[in-house]
This record gives sequence, C-alpha cells and structure tokens, in this order.
Amino acid sequence: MNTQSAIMIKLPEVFGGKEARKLGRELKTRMSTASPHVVVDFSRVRQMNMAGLDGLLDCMETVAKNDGAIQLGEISPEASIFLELTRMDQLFSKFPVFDASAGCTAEQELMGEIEDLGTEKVGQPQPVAA
Amino acid sequence: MQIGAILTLAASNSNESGTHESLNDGARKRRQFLSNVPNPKLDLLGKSLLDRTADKLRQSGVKTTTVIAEGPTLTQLARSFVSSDAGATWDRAVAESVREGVQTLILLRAGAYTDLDFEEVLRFHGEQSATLTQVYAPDGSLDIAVVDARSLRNADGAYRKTLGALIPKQERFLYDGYVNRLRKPQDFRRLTEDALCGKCRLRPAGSEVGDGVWLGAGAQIDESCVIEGPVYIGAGTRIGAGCTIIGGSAIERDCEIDFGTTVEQSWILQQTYIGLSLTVRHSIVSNQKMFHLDRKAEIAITDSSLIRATKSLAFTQQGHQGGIVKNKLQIAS
Repeated sequence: MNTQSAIMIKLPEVFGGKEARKLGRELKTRMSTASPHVVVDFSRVRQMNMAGLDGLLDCMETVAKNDGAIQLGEISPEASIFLELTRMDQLFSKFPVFDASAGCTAEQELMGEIEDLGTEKVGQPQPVAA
Repeated sequence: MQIGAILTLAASNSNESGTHESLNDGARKRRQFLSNVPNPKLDLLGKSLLDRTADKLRQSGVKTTTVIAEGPTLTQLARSFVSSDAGATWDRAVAESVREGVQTLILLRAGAYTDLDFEEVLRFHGEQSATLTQVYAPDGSLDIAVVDARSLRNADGAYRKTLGALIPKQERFLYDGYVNRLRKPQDFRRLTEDALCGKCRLRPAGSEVGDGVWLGAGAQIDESCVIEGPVYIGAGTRIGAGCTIIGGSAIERDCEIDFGTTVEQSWILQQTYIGLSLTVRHSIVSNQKMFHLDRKAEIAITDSSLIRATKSLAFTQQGHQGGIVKNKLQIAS
C-alpha cells in the first residue's frame, strides 16, 4: 500500500529565530524517510518575526532537498496576517498538496516530541489550509 | 450672540447603561488597536477629526472651543451617573464658559463623524426658543447638544444636575444625513473610503491630481508605481519604485512605502514606514501595529525592516509644495 509519512509540528505562541533554529535541528534529526511531508501548525502562534520566518525558509529548503514538502496546517489569524504581509503565504501554496486521503498509518507517522515547539502526535493528517 | 463649545474627547470610564461593568472580551478585542492611539487626534485624510470639528465649529460662529479629555455623555447626565473626575473637568469647562459670558453653549463629543451643519442646529434651537436641543440620528443620540447658557447661570456650580434636569424637556433635532459612529476600526476604514468616494462631506487635505487620486503637499511617487484611485497619499509621503496603491487606500502624512510593496484597501497612519516587497491588504497600520479588518486581529510588528516609525521628511520641512510632477504619475483606471 502506498502510504505517506507526516511530521506535524505545532509552533509555539512566539516564533522567532531561536524557535526556528530549534525547529531546524529537530527536523534534521527526525527526517528519516525520503520525501517527508511536514505540516506546520500555526494555530498557537500569536507573534512572529523575520528571524522566525528566515528559519522556516531554511527548514523548507532542507525538506525540499529531501524531495519533501512543507505545508501550512491550522493557522491563527495573527500568523496569517504576518504570512500575508511578508508574502510567505504565496510561497507555501507552491508546495504540492499533502494528500490526506492517501492514508497515514500510525507506524509510519513520525511522532516526534519536539517539546518546546509543541510537536504533536498525529492520528490523522489534518486538513491543510492553502 | 456669543457661542461657545465644549468638545469632549472620550467618555468617562463607564458605559452608556450607567453601570460599572467592564467591557466584555469581544469589545475589548475590537478596541485593542485603536485604544492605543487617541482617535480624534489621528490624521484622517490629512487632518484629524478633532481639527476638522474645531474648524467646523469656528465656521459656524463659535468663538471659543474648549477641548477636554474626558467628560460625561448626555445619557449619563440624564441618569445622574457621572464619575467625579470626569464631572469635575467638565464642570470647570462649563463654569469658564458661563463666566466668559457665553450665551449659547454647544456640548459635543468627538465620537461619531457626521456631516451635521452646526448652523442649522443653532438656527433650530433659536426658532424653538429651546433651553436644550439635542441632536438625534435615526439610530439614536449623537451626543451633540445646544444649551441656553443663561439656564446654567444660576446653577451655582451644580451644572451637571441642572443640565440633567433639562434633558427631559429637550427639543429634538432630527438629523438624517451621513453618520459614522466610529465604534470599531472597520468604521474608520469605511469613513476614509466614503470620503474618497464622495459619499460624505469630509474632504481629503490635498489636491486631486487624477481621477480620485489625492495628494498632500510634497508627496513623492516614483514613476514606476501603479496608483489606482480612489487613493489618498498624504503630505510628505514617499512611495518607492514598483509599489501598487489601490482599492481606496489612504496613506497619511510623512509615511514611506518601500520598493515593490502593495497597499490595497488599507489605511496607513501617519509617519509609518512599510518595508520592501510587502503586501498590506485590508488593514489599518500604525508604526508598530497592524490590524487586519477581515481577520479582526492585530499583530505587533517588532521588525523595523517591516514596519516602523518614520520621521518627517526633510523636503516637507523645507516647505516644498505639491511635489509630484504630473507626468511621473501612472494612474490606472
């Protein structure tokens, strides 16, 4: 059966350079499969800055080099304003859409515990906001 | 006839129902953005609402206008509910007007925007031989009243009580013109748009150089910009190369919009720098904060490369007027 693995990352309330660097480090250690799908959940984010955004871009590059994709999960109004302001929303929409219907078995999901970043165990991939 | 006015900027710390209930979370959230800035003092299409009101009063024959930061609403006066601090300031202002021999006193609050003609109200007040005339819009009081100051002469300092007693005997002036209550950020945005579209009498401070394109003195726009009216660009504001300003946007004085940025359906408050290659859509932006009108949320911007305060640009200080060269402006219709 053709299944996909997903890494769901829940970002903290404040997402700056420090948090982004932590995210990058964790991603590198946890990307065990080729073509990883990373879903970044912004639902808790209330404040972001350019350093956080730069870090996120680095993560996207890392994922892209592994033939994977980063997509937006749930997004708070505040994060959504910031992404629109910086036009990053357009960049995210360029990545191929994660196919939730393809299924995602619990064994193949990466259930990391990036505590500070709030990485969550995901039973089912969540709908991805464009 | 000597006419005076007392213009109150804000209500006392109580709501209209006369209770001490705090604002609920929703209301607090809605007020979050604008509560950080004194609304009537903000430039709106090049001139603050406070200045516009003062000008209008002057044109209507008002000799002295006293501006106070806080005071009671007429509803509070009618219900004898006025906090002592707010009431004391207001009392002093009334006492001074009475002492100066003012015969007719206009009491108003810098809250809602209206196209009300004060002369018309004063005429009505005189014709009715009223002691107190209060102005009403179809949806309620506008918190504007005209009082015969002679009725306050014998009040012996108890102005609030005397005025409160007059309210039930008031004459009502019904106004059915343009009213914007300015209760939430969206209302401010609507007012700028209405003014630019000529739906109200508020006029941008500047000259109309194209179809619905208004420029303040010394505004500079790069020739590569796309400006689609109705749009207002305030005095001393600089729009960098490759910018797009559309959708009834208003950019107040001394702002700087950097290279390649799009401003759409937005109101940029005075002295705000917007960084390069950004998209500001349906928002109100100050030099530290951004309120998104659709998402009804506000963010604080901590990166000075994105948004920050500007200082007045040198060329406006030097007094250069109407800085745009017409053929440098590309107006898309």
